[in-house]
Amino acid sequence: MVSEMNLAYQFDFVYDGQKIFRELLSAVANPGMIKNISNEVEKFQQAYAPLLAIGCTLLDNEEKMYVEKNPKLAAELHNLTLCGETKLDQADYIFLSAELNYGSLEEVLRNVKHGTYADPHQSATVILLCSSIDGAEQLNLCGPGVKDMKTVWVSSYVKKVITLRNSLQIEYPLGTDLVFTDQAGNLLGIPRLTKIAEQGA
Amino acid sequence: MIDTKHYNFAFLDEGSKREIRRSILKAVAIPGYQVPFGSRELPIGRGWGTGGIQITLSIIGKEDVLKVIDQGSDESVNAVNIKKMVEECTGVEITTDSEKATIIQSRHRIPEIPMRNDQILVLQVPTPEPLRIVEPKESVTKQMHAEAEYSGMWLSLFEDLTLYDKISISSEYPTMVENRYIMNPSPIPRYDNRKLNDSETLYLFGAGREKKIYAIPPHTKVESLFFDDVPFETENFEGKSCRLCGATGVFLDEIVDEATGEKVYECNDTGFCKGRRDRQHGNTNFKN
Repeated sequence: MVSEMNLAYQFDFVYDGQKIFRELLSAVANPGMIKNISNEVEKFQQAYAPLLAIGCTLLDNEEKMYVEKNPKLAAELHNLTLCGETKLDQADYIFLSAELNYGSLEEVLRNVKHGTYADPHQSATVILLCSSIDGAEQLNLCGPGVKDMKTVWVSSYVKKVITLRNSLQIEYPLGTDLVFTDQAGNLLGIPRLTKIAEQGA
Repeated sequence: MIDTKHYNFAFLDEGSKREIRRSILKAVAIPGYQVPFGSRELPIGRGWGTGGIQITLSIIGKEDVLKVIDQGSDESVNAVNIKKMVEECTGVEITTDSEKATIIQSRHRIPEIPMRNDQILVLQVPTPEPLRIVEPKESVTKQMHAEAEYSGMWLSLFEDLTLYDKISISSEYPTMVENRYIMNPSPIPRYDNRKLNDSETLYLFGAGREKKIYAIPPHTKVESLFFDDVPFETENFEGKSCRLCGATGVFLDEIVDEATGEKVYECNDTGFCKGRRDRQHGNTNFKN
């Protein structure tokens, strides 16, 4: 008789899920403030561990996801959460497990759900795994959650995605919320109202 | 008995928590917009703070320190029962010190001591829809928000002005969030409205009976509605002070002294008042 059950992952859906949610909440409420979930991410010993950890925090069979060109990750997320896959333009959560080129990114950000004026919450959240959130690019952020203006140093990919999202000029309250994560378990939330401030503004 | 042995941590099942958490994240992304959610049954009647409780139970972790206040009081029936319930099903530390708390659940007040960025204020909301006074149908108010069609609200304030020479709304005075959504700040007094604007802390609003969650992230523009020639006014406590701790410049309750028949004043925020008195008497456990 087996006395102890062997688990594929050490991730605890109750306690680790709560910790990740709080960091995520803080990241979305304070755009530009980089939070860390590495202790919880470590519990998935896999290449896409940060996305699995965030997925297990947010997803279940009530939601629909779209995973860009990564069937293995999609299957893993489905196994863990029972979340079903759907097309890009119908998904509540979009997972981008690799850094995309400009054209593909534009395709994704243009076609995801942006909500409606009556139901702006029925919009997609895009979760992006990048090699590193930190980088040499200066980004001046403003909007709710930011006191006047906040400068963060991010990778060129992060800056590219935020610039591209904002260049689509989707009228608020419609929009797309972005969550960046990296292998170090860092989190950066960029909700739809976060803008890139002009230098010296 | 509700405890962690017989119930999931924080009472709610994980599926319920996840849905509420997803709604909270959307609410933070769209400040002032009411996100609908599937309000759960709780061992407490709807209308007794179930929206706030569901938010608190969904966000709380083992390391959190919780404070619950009701109309400024740590010791009222509603506050004590909510504290007991959350404590029994999570085992978290409970406090009356608003500086020590990481989560404060409140009904009808925002604490006197300015809250920090690492804290969250959860407010219980009976009527989340600010337009309900001008339009009874939910489908219509939803469309009004969609179109930012708020002329009915302005007209209502103007009618109030013509009837009473001033805007007579005492609590849940409507606010405009980020120049887009008119929001009901819950039945906090007008005095507390200014604390919502450009705050350091995150405000989460939960209406269990009406099944709505909304939020104000830190440093968000929140303006109480006013006319160019009729500025927004708050309750005025000039020249009055708390008879217990002597505090001035805080929200005071007016009480009639039974012995003398005179009007006297006490701090509405009892935790703040107790902290001041403890400090005056040399007890430094409180920092207020």
